[in-house]
Amino acid sequence: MEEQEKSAQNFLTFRLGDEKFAANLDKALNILEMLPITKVPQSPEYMKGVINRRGEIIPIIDIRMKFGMEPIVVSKRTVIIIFRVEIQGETADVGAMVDEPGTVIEVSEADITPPPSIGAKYKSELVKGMLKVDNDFIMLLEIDKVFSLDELVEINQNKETAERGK
Amino acid sequence: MDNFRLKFIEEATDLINALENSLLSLEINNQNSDLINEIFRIMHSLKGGGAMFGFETISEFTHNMENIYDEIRNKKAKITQELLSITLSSVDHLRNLLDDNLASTPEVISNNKILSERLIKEINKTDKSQKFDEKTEPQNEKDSLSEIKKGETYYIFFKPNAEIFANGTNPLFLVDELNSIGKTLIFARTHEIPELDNFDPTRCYTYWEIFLQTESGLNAIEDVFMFVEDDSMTEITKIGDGTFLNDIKFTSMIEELNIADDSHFDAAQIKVFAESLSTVVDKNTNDLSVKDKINKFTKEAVISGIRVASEKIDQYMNLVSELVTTQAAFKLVSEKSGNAELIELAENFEHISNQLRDNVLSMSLIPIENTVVRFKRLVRDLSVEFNKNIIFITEGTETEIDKTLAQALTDPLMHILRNSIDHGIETIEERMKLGKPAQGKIIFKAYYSGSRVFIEVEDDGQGIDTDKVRKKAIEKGFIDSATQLTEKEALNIIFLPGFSTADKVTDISGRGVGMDVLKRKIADIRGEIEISSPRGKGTKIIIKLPLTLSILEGLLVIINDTPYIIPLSSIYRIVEQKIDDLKKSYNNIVAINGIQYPFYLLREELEMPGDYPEEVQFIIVKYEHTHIGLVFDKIEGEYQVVLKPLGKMYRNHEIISGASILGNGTIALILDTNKVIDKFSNKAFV
Amino acid sequence: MGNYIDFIIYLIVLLGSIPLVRMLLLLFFKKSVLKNIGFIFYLIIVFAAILGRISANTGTVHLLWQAPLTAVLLTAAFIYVDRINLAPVRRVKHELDKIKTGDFSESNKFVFSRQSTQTEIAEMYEAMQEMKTKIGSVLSEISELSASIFQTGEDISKEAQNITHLAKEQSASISEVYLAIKEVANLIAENTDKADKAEKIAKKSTVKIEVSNKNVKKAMDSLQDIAKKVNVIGEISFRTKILSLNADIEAAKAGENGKGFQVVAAEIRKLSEHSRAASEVVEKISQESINMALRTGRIAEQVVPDIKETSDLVKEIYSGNKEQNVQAELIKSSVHLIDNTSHKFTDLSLIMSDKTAYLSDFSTKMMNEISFFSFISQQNLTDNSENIIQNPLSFSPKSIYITVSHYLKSNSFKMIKNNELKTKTNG
Repeated sequence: MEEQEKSAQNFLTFRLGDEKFAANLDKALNILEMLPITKVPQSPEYMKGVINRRGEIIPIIDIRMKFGMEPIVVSKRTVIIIFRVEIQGETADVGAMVDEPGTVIEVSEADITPPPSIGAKYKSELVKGMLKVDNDFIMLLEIDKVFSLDELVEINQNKETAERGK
Repeated sequence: MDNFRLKFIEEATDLINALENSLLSLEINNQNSDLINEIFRIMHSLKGGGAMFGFETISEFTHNMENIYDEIRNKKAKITQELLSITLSSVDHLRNLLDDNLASTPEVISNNKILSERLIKEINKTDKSQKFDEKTEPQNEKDSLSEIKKGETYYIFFKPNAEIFANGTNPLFLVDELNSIGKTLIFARTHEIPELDNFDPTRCYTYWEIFLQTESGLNAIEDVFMFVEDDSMTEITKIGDGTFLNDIKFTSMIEELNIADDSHFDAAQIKVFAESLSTVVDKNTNDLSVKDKINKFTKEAVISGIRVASEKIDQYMNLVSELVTTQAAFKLVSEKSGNAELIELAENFEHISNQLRDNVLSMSLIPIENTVVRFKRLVRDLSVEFNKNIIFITEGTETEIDKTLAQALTDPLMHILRNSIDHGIETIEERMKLGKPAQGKIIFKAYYSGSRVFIEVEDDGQGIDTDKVRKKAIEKGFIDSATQLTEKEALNIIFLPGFSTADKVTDISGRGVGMDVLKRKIADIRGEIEISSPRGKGTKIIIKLPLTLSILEGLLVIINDTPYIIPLSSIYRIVEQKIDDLKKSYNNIVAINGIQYPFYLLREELEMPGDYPEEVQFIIVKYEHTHIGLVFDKIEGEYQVVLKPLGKMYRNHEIISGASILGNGTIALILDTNKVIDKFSNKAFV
Repeated sequence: MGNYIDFIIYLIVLLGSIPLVRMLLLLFFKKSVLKNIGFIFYLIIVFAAILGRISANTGTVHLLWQAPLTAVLLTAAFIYVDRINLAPVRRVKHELDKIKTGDFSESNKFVFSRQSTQTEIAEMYEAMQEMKTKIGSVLSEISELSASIFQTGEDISKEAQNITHLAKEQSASISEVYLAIKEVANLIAENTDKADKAEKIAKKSTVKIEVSNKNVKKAMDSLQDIAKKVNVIGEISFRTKILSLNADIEAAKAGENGKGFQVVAAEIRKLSEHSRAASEVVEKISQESINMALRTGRIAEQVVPDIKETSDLVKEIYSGNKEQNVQAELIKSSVHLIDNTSHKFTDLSLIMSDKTAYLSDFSTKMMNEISFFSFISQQNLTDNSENIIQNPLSFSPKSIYITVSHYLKSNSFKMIKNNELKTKTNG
């Protein structure tokens, strides 16, 4: 049973801008239609705020900005994908705004290639590999890294040291 | 399968914790047979569970321990200091064994070997001394065998937990198992099975009433239900000695009593009837003690209640939160409607939901004792390691706190204790030199103070050398040498990330990740940490925690259509002001009723777009020993809000301590007024 | 001696009475010839008296010489009277003779002496003279007039002939006009009929367009309704897709048992995607239809007032035509009248032509009658005056010569002056 799972894995695809990305289906918790987002003041721009998912508060990230794209513009197709990720060794549910949900695809192990090391458009640590689907390549994201707090922690530490300097 | 293993690990961890606690108590009072029984029972459970869920090492290991404590229980062996020591080590070892990752490491494997050998040695010791006694055991069995001839009849009420399938348990197997130990008369009660629409195949709706005539004794029956007893309702009543099921009178009476599916048998009534039948049966002298046993058992089951997974409590809590929120919305709607009937209904609803809320809150509260037990052990072990003589005194451990808080507190407290032992309390020699008593003292105090819980950890060690802190801070570039610091400010430096004063790095503390993490973790649970350290006299750390993480009395205020909650406890007064007057005021200070209040225009400080309305709400909040004004657009009213964490992504967010979901589903952010003022007044250290 | 003195005194008294008698004669007879005759008689008496006194004195009556002297004196006196006082009568007779022949031409005026002019006969001559002149000028005028009458009569006759000709032509063309107008009137009547029909049609089409406009609006409303519903379908399919994805996620978590469910979820997703695609197409189409309907509606809305306007215009044209029709009829009858009149006019012009011919004859006759009288024609008088006037205006060669020589003289002078100036400058 496990062997089967290994030879073919399920991925959830979605679109950011004009590009297609994929994440391990295991990582996804569910997909939500756009909900009103409460902005949290004094937080980085890519942290869009929080939403109420059935009584649970989930932070929402504009992952487009993580990939250096323009901030997301909410459309009829915009959805929130909730991922269960590991942040600093702890699990957390985080929502990602994506331009359009894709579909669930099954890709066999053989069609997963490592990310191109040269000429990569995005930070290689965010890309886990490339999925070959019908002669098309979909970038497989390392979801944990995408939501990693490193950046945020750095920012805050810098701020603190700056304040300390005073 | 993994799920069940996890479940076992969870249960086993609790068992091991209880075991540890009992062992520590036993160390003080080594004659307490209750404790020994308890230890034996835990060993037994661990052995069985281990075998069942594939933890063979644990099963084997506990088998030996069980044997030893069985001997002791039966007074065939004596508790020795060494035995306790080995057992305590074994407790740690068992914890390691539960962790799959650790269990396979060579250290643990070798440890297992060493401990097993030591245990076997202990067994052999008792074997030698009590060889004769051991031989008497089969005799006991023979005794019970003689009882078998007579046979006993039990009434068993077995209502499995509805979630029992989730554990992988098939209740029918248990019933079958009963069948295998004697003659049974089984009534399956199926009236609780719902209509197909509401039928959830993952739930168990059936319960059973079983009459069992067995020769195996009560223990055998109990063993059958061993793994379900926590979750399920099991009631075992002895009807009497004798093979009643063979008596047609008895069975026909039972059939007669079984009028309806949803009725159930009155054990006492049957018992009386059975007694009238059992003229043949001798009155056993053991009967009373067995009865006691049963009573005790059933009593235990009733009093200690059912074990509920903390996750479920969380869910329950969440649901109640939702209910409270919905109720608030309902109340609003009903008030708006002006319908008297509806309002009355809403009031009733509020009353009930408040009770429910209090109920769930109390359910999620646990005495701090549970957490402290571990520390006793820690202090004991560390003081031995550091060659220090330390007494750990606890006060107010019955103080109850939210279990989430308790969980979150464990690490920080552990850290504080380690620091105290490692850095605070001096070695015996040093203490003698200083004229202090040889035995160091760590006092752990927990108590309520208003709506908060205070936890103090105080030691009588050397305290924190603020000069050293200062020096180090300059060295690390946190401050420059010209900076003048008060004692308090200097002490607060130790909470900065990457700061550690320990000269040498030990494996316990001094890794430089200490106090800042500590502070952050406390902040995570909306707590505050204070430190005071009179030089040479010791260190006192006070952790102030909210009573619960779940409910907060707050004022709902609005800035730019974004709702915020300010805890009512932090509000001093509310006045209405004209924004123009505030904007004109010099240096952001305004006089209200002759008193001057500094204030912050939050709309601007939080960089919100738009302008204030003409009339603004000037909320005066308590801050340290003064009062400071915060300016909002408008006030929505008082609310009892259910607190929710903002999540890990916002862990580093300073001024927002959480969020709450309002009646209409929108999220209100909870403003930590202290942090807001800290931030905008640029006071980094206080 | 005494006798002489008496004589002298007598003489003086006789001689002295002469002027007195003259004066008395003048007073009594004034302009009559008798004053002259009486005076002469008085002078003879005086002379006879003187002579008687002388003879008485001398006593010798010299009758022989006295008789001849008196005869001579009387003869002289009668000659004087004839010559001086009866001359004018003869002049009058002369003039009357001339008039008898129809000669009214002016003759040299006879100027009478002072005494004679003072007589009535002289005055009669003068009056007659004057009358003759006047009659002469009247006759000359009559002659001239009759000449011009003749001329005019000739002209009129000529014009009358022209008029007759033109009238004939006019009559012909008016007849033509009448025919044309008759046709025009017919056409107008036809137009009126057509305009009437057009108006009716326009009215009908306005109603029809209004109905179709309403229908377009209705269609648009339903299309918008459809678009809304399709939108909902699109939304639902999107939601279904999300739902199926969620189901997929859940199924994936359920492991082997979820496999079947996963397939179902995938099917649902496919369906939702199909329905979404379909709804998108429908949405697009319905949007297009809406746009089209919108455009149609807009055009129809524009057309309705246009058509209404057209209908109104047609109505106006119709009523205009009707009026025109009436007027055309009027014109037709008027032209008909004109036609008749012009025919009459032609007849009249013919009559007139005859009359003028008669007039011409008449004037010729009159001219002949007039020619009996002779008088100074005005024509001759004007000719002479023309000559007199012409002279001062014409340049006589002499005057030209003078002018040129004068010019040359002044010029040469100037030239000399210039030369002098030149030599002066040269030197």
